[in-house]
Amino acid sequence: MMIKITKKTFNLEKEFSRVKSIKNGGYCFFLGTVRDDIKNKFTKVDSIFLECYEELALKQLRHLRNQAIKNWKLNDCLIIHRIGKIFLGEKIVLIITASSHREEAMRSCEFIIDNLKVNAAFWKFHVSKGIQQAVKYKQKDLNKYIKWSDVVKF
Amino acid sequence: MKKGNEEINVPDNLNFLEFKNLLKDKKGIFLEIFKDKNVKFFLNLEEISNPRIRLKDGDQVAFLPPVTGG
Repeated sequence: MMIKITKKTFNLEKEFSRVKSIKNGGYCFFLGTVRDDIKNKFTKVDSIFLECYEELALKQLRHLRNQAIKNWKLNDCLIIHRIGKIFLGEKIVLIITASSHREEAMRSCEFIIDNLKVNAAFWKFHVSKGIQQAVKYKQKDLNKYIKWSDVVKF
Repeated sequence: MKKGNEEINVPDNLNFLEFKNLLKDKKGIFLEIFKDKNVKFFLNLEEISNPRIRLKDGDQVAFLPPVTGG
């Protein structure tokens, strides 16, 4: 499965085996994890909680994958996004892009994560002592996402 | 704003704008949602670009606050 939304964690080597091929000269991995330095107004965050509108999010992830493959002529691409409660240091998101040359893999990987930040139906909450607080996207993330509209036309 | 879903019976041949007005009259929470310029509207998993689009039986309408994935 090249697109997955899951409550469970994932194994990097196992996921890599899904895209591994002798056609590829380069892979780019992006692994997003929960930082231990996130603080809200009152106290340190001990975990995050991710919700999604699954039908829509899956559709958006499939579309992003297709855009990346088409625009950078990738050989393959895998996207996994976790939902539910995720503790400090745990994996949140994995993107693997596979192509003949490194530049295409790296650029497309950046395109996908920039889109995931502000344009896919996921909602992140910081959890501190059992209290959830919605996370707002950063302006710099929105700016990065907007820049891609000049690059990816599909 | 909380996630949830609800099945609603509405008159036939309603467009999305009329549907929004009907919801506003029905429940106060929708007044708040529709005032927020950052909320995006989706019909059957497609973002609504024409607010006068006609709704039909079985349609799925979603109101989404700003997302934060990754």
